Amino acid sequence: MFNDMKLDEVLGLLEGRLRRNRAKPVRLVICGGAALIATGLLVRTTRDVDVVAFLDCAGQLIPPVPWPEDLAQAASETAAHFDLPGDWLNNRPSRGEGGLAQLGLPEGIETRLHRIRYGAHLEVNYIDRLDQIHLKLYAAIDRGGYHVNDLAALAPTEEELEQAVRWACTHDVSQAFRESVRALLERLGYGTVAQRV
Amino acid sequence: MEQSLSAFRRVFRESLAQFLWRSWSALGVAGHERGTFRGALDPEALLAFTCSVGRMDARLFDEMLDWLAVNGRFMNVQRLRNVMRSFQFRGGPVLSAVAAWLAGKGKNLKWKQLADSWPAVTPPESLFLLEDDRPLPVVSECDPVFQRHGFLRNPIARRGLSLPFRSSEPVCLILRLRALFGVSARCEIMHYLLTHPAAHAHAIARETCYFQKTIHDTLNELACSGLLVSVRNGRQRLYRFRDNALPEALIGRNEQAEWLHWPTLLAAAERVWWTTAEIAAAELEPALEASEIALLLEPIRRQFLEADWLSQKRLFDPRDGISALWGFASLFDEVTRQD
Repeated sequence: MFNDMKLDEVLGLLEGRLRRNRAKPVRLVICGGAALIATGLLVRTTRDVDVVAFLDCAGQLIPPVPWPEDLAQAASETAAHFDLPGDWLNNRPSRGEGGLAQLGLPEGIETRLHRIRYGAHLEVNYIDRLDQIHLKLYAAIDRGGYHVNDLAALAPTEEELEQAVRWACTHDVSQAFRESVRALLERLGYGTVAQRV
Repeated sequence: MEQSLSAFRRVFRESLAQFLWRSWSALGVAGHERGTFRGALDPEALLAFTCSVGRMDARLFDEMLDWLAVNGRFMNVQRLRNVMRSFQFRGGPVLSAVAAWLAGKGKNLKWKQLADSWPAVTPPESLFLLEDDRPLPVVSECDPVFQRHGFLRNPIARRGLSLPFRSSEPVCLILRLRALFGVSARCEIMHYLLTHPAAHAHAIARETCYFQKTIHDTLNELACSGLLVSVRNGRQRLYRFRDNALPEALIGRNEQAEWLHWPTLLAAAERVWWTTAEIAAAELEPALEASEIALLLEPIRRQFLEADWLSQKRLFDPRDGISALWGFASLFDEVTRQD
């Protein structure tokens, strides 16, 4: 399990492994629990590090597929050192056709990233609180569970939530999805937002 | 134990140097305390190892050349090539130079074939190394044979003190078998059967670095002598000596020959030696250094876990960083010394 200090240590070694293996530098965009911890939004632990996108040389977001072999090898070597699960670093959020990067990330997300450079071979970009609200809302509808807790803990404003809802509805245009959104908003005490969407 | 890589390498260097001197002295090199070992030395694995790690000791290296000039006819060059390639020993170009030197002395055509097996090193580099791994400078003229293979060293001046191997010593068993049976797979087969109750061709081939067909065909021939018998064991045939007469004649009534797979052990020691030099030179941060050590030792540990001859030994944990290296060095010392 990662807290902020362990995450830092692990990513530091990941850079070292990329460097030793003479891998191409990578620029990761990270969402999920790791981003919440690293940006100080929430104090908790997480099992893994979710990569939602890469940044290319021009600073443009691209889906993290295919998963580079260099990165997989370095992640595997890092896992061995810290006794982590094999998939501790993964592209689960954007792995396939219905992935977040494939369907479209919140507008302007790349302008709000929090960057940490771990040497010449690894740059890590954590998504901002506003984008966390977007993604957590979507995950809360899609999967519920701790995503609902995380969303509530972020204490979004009504404006932020409305923005997130409008984005989420571009990923799922069905009426059933809208109903689920309204129901969640009501439960979380955002009844007025629920009325507007 | 000290937790620095340089401290480890200092001690491990001494351990390897001692091992090399004890080994070659046991085979007949003059001027050093003869070692005692748990089993017979594998001359090809030892030569492969010395062509790499032996570069740390110019005197030892030249004593090896002297020994080869006297006893080289009992070396199995084909097996040497197999051992070098199968276990990825690094000293190929050095071995080519050694072979070229032996061929130049008129010592058997087989060395000439080996002399071209590995390309010359470019740019040329010093053959020998100082204690701190820097190249040993060559101030006078260079030996032309080694120079052609990319290695700079002083001209070779043999002391001529090496003796024929001591045939009565258990450590020289393989050489003794070669003197008796000729340089061929028969010797390795006999050695394997002297150290195991019974065996099938596949296991013998794998452990002795021969092709399975060679071992299979040779076992069939040996069985025709009546001194070896075989029994069917599933789809394989298990071979053993018919009785104790031949083993006792070869190794004595009360002797117990022990099996030790020298290529596995020495190839691992070579990897540890050279890779720790590379890691030390890279001056890595502690976590990365520990990670490199783990990557070095993990495959070695997996190999050792499969080795029956190490089953009673405590193995190191690759994730222990420099402590794991000390663990490897202790294991090496323990295995290479007489119990």
